[in-house]
Amino acid sequence: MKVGVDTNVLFYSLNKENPFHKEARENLALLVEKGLAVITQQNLVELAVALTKRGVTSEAAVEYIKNFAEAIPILRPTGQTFTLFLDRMNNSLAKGVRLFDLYLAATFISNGVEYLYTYNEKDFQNIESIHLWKPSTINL
Amino acid sequence: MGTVVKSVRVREELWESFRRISKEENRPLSQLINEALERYLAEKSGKIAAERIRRLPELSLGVEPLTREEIYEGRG
Repeated sequence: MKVGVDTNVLFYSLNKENPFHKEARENLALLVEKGLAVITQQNLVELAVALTKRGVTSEAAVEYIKNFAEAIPILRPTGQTFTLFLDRMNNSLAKGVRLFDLYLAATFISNGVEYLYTYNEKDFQNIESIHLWKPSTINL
Repeated sequence: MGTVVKSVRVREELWESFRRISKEENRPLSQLINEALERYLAEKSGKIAAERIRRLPELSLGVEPLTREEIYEGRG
């Protein structure tokens, strides 16, 4: 079993002012320890955007991203990712910025990932083939 | 294939346990030892990576939730 990690989890694991900070950091560390966590390049680019938009310097953001990149396996789009993305787009009402969610899900699904750990659950709940991961439902 | 390892000192009771399991499961000792080493190394690297996450310096980035709208829309 692999668990795709959404950008908000990475972000909250760093941001001590967020109410999910401790939970996100510990769950992420446990998923990494068990070899279950995976991320995509899209997550790391999004994290870079989020950190720098909230005032983190580019230098510091690069250091954080390098740490995540070295600790968590990075999945890349496969030959099926784009086809899957277009297929899902054709069969859903998603549009605008929501299509980035769809592309992220397509990258995970085309790499055989069935679970997603996110704090923006509503963004993914209508995407077939990917289930929302909750610490309470799967015992680590 | 693999390297023939020799002159490795192993505690008697561990070695005996391995031999017993090998007999019971009808699997070669080499296979069991390779599996055990693989598991140990995976666990070790997982623990190191997890520790890296736990030790990342915390940031103060506000209480607002992070959304893809924030990431992809607007500038700056």
